[in-house]
Amino acid sequence: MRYPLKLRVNGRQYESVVPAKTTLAEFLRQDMGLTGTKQGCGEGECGACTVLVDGTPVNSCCMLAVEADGCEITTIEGVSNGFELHPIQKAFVEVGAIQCGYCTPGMVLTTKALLERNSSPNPQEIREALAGNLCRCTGYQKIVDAIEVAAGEMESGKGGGR
Amino acid sequence: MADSTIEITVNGFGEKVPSASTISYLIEHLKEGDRHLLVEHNGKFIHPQHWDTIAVDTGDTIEFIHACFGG
Amino acid sequence: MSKHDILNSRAPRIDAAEKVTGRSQYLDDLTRPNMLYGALLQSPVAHGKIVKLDTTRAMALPGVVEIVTAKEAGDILFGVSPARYDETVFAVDRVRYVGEEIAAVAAEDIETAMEAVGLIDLEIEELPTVLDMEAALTPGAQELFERYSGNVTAEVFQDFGDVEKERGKADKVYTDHLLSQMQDAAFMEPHGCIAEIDHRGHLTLTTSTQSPHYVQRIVAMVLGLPLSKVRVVKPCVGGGFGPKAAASNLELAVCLLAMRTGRPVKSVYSREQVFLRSRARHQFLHKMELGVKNDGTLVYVDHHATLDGGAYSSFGIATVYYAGSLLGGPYHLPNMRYHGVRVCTNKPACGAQRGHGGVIARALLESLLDTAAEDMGMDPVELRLKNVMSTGETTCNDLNMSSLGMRECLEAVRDKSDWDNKRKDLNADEGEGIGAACGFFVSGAGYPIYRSQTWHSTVTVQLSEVGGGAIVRSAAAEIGQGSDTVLAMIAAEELGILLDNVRVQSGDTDFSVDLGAYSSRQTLMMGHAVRDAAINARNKVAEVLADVFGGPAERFEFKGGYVGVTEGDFDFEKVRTDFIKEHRGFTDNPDEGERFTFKEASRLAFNKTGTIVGCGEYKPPPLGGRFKGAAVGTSPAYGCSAQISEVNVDLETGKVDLARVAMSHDCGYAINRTQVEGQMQGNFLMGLGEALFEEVKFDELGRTVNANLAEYKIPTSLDVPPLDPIVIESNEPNGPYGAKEVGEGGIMPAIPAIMNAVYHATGVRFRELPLNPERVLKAIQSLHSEGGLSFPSDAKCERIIQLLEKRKSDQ
Repeated sequence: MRYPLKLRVNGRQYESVVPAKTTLAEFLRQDMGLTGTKQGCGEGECGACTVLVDGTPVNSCCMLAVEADGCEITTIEGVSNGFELHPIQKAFVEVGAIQCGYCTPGMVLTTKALLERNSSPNPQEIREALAGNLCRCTGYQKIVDAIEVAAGEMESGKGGGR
Repeated sequence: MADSTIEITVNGFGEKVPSASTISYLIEHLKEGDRHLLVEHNGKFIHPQHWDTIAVDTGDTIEFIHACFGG
Repeated sequence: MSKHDILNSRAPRIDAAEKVTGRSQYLDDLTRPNMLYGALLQSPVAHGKIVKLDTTRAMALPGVVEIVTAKEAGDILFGVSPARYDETVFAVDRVRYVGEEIAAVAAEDIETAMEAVGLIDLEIEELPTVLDMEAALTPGAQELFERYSGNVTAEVFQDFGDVEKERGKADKVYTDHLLSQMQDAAFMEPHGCIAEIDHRGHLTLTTSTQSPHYVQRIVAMVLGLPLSKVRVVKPCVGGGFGPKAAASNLELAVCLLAMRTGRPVKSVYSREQVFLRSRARHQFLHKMELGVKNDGTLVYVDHHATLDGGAYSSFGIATVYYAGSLLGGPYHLPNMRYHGVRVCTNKPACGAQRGHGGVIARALLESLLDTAAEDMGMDPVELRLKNVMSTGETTCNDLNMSSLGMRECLEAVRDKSDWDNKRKDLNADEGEGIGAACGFFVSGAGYPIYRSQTWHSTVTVQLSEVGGGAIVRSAAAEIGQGSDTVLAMIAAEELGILLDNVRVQSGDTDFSVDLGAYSSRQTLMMGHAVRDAAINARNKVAEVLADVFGGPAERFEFKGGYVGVTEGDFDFEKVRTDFIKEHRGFTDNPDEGERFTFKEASRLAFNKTGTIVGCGEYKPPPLGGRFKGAAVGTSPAYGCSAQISEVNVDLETGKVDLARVAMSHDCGYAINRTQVEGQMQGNFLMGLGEALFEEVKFDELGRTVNANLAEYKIPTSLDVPPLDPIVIESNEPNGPYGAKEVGEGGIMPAIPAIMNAVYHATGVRFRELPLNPERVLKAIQSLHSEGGLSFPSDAKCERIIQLLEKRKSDQ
């Protein structure tokens, strides 16, 4: 069975027809070529495939594409403004929160959702928000550090009228 | 010496060595000079203390293994 | 202050922006035109004879293009060490573990490929299984291989010093054993590969590997291709930690399918397949006897180890070797005897994982040191400080500590953790405890995996003909650890140019020979090579400058993108004017200042001599073992680490929480400080997981029951305490700029520091890992029971140790 699908991805409207069993991750990666969304387990355990669905972090490997009908999706490709990195991305780069990078897109999107609901989270709140995103390389510390830096940057950015 | 040469297999290749060569002799002769060397004689690990006494026979297999190859 | 401009800094990774924007391409992000998808048929049983394998029905499925089995793949043996080649691409008549590859399908899409796998008629006549060390070693046990008598795939005896003779010098003797579980590396990116072959028979394999070089050789050997026609390319790799260091059946199967179909073929593992492939951490059972003098001086270690290696050898012969030899340091230990046995069982094969071979042995020794300290009324840190080795000393097994900041590491964590007060003040009644441990690890291996005089690392640094940039080309394997950035930093430093002007092309066997990312070798070995290559390129430019401007080449100094002179003067006005005139004023030179740019210098050199390519290469020098003259030793250098962990044990539930950890590591010289810290933090995370949660579990049929990241728990952000690493730099003479390993050493103290802290908190000296709540709770209960502390595996461990002792006495 194939179903019609209409959704916005990174601000652009798309229409498609997909088989019922196509996951959102497969749709994004294969149909749309947005391979920044990674697949680490296919079972919603690792968080590498995290995207934002109407602003909420979701494991896109566990959501059917048709379930996203009518939704607004943000993938990692939609986070930066062209070549200008988002402050979260900038902080990940500068603090050194990236090693193999496979978890990074998911981490960034989880962070984006976190900072949208809590603009100055403390380390414990950051760690709680990241608990569904596994990273095997970094020990999480530099990710937590980067998120603190990003939060500070985004806060002062607002205050400074940027 | 020629008549007392035997053929053995060392690390997969035929090698002519004097008959009754000891492991120690083979190590010296084949320049396997590392104290961390592992030696196997016919598939069996040979303790270094037996290197001087164990001798090879025709058709024997010897493996010299440098096990500290990383990982 | 660093004496360097770029090295020792916190330069961001050169690949960071690509990774953080999702632009980096990992294997599964790649496709090829007209590509087929591959899927594997893997054994559903742990041990058996294949009595029927019929692909007719599967082949008839529309969309299936090719199916290969052992009939097509042949029976050429491969593996890691040539002395232990014991695998074939597909099972030949017999399967030895659940997950063993039997056939591979190539189809137009992945669904069809998987459906076809289900249509292959497979009948297996089951054989008795051997599922643990005891079963493997028991006389009369079912043997997995004819060649491995008694299921022993490797055995090592080592005797350094003289344990028998010196035993009497010990005033106290402490004995214990420790059983760990098989573990998984749980890198985030599952393995995958794409193979494609052109009309001239050139095969390109793009694969998520830690070692393009070894994969290239194995592919050529097994599939009968000339090496010159096999190219292996590594895309972005999402972690390896050991299991991706050797060629896999998946890679070989996909190459074979590409060769037979003439079309590109791609296949990617599911997470379950990652677990079934394994090649990760062995299960270890160590037993140690530690002899100590009354003043705390170590006298000897008498050590037995049994390793469960799973069905095939993989890295195992090195694993069992390292399990013994890595106890040689970092303490003065004059006598050390070791008997190690690696057995095969009907489980996925184990291989190398971070801290290869040494992790559990280290955990037990560090645990015994604490036992000794307590018994003798000494502080555990003091006992260690009393015994630590220093730079320039050699262990009883010939490991030369050409640099060793062990004391500095230990003192640093002692001070940082407030050890002296915490050790007194923490409240065991509330489950609080603190523990310390040390460790050390090799910085590269003395030998390649196959027996060869090969260079271990070669590289070229090519200056771009115009524009003054440089390209570093090699087969080095960036797998997330940051080697590309390290190589770029070294090249930029030596060429005196900005980091942004260096491009790195790596992970490609067309570029150079490099043995890859394992045994913490990349910075030391490729670092040497790239330094030499960059200097070589720079010297070529300097020689041209000397020709043109006069004076010795040495007077030209390259720094910050400019070339100056240390003595005299030089007039480059004409050279600059010529460049400006050649393209109507386009100089590609934003700086029209008074200084001569590297761009102009390298362009001038190109115009005079052609393309400037600097070459560099490295192999470990003879390292001077004491046996019959100079010989190559284990490693050119050794990194060392110390950690002090503070735990809270919930005495009601048995849950162990890490409250704090102080960590230090001597990396010789931090080429990139941020990356050094990142490696230390990552090492700790893996150690924490292994100490507290990680265990691959099997049912009675040898099936992995937790082959997923839900039931195989690795640490989350909530499990890891804040990590504030202390970097110690001891200036390693055998390393480039004084640098040595940081990729693995930090895992060594992680497990025992936690174990020692848990002991401090609970009084339980664990003989089993991991310290999951159930195990901790039961142990605490047994401690207070009539029979005293006991563990479920005690009797089994005792039997295995007896089997091992019998084996030894039979020698």
